[in-house]
Amino acid sequence: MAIPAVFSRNPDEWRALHDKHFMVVGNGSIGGALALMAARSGVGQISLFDNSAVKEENLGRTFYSLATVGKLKVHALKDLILEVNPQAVVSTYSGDFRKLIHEGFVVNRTTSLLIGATDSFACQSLINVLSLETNSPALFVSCWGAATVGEILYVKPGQTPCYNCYADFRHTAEETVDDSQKYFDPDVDSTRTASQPGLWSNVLIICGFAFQVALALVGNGATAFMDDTHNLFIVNAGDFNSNLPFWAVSKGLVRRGCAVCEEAKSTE
Amino acid sequence: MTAARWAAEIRKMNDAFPWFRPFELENRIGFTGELPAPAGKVYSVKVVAWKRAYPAMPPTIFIEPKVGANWCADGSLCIERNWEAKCSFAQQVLFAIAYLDEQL
Repeated sequence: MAIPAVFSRNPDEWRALHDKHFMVVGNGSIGGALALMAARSGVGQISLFDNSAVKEENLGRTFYSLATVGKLKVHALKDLILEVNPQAVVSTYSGDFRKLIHEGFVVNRTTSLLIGATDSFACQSLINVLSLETNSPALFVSCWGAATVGEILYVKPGQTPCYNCYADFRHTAEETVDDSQKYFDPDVDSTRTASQPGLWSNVLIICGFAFQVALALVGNGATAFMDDTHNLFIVNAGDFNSNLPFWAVSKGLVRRGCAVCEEAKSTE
Repeated sequence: MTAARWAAEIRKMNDAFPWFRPFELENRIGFTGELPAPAGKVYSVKVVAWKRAYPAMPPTIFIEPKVGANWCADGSLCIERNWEAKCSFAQQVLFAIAYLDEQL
């Protein structure tokens, strides 16, 4: 098959990725950047999930522009992907991801990688469930502390700890969005973290590392850094005051086996 | 929710609150039963979880008739509860008992 001109500078990646399908849940600064990195690398099929619209406050750290304010992020991102690769197959889902999953959404067998880039613990946990149900690899990416620290967790069902093995503590540890909403809105997601400031450049540093992990998970990248026990990577993209090495990635050990991925640990 | 987990939940509920009955809807699962209170009053308690989200996400607790002011917009009990994936439905009944005890 002839290499499209768009991918003439990354032909090997295009060959390996044009038949791959990425499912990107959360199309904000992280999910949007990863989806566009995937599109520019040659991933042929991308499914986008997000129920929010582009706001002016998003423009400082996403690829979205003023012209897209008010538009659903899934549609704005689809347009950006197709501007790069008109041949890409892009599907969009703009409903509440939790409802979609509860109502029986199943991951397409062609899906190569699930990417969780949401600010909701409930949604990230449901992506983990989809990953475990279908034995599909998953990548969870988030940033903290004004986007100075990135958190990248990859999951290979049956081989690595799952998202809940690591993140179960988040049930109580997060500062959530306006908590009083739960008294007025029956559909409020009280597991969402509050928005934080942070620079676009830092987000891109974190996403750059995360995308290397994505490539490795779909078999198109160096895998030497993946030992499947240290499946957590902490990226210091700008925290000068921490003990983390500056502008470096540290590996984290996660203990495998929680009540979500191991039936033997059903209930105490 | 796997079949093994559901079986473990039923066993645990039978041990702790044997009069609570399991129920299964299209995409939700849970237990329902009654809790007696002083002065002969009886409160109906329902502990419900989304099948696919459990045990990653906690079940919600519904009590009828409602007492106190701690209610979310969906009608569920709105109190701080520690939750880990290894927790159980039966523990949620304990939260309901503690809440009623505090309010009555």
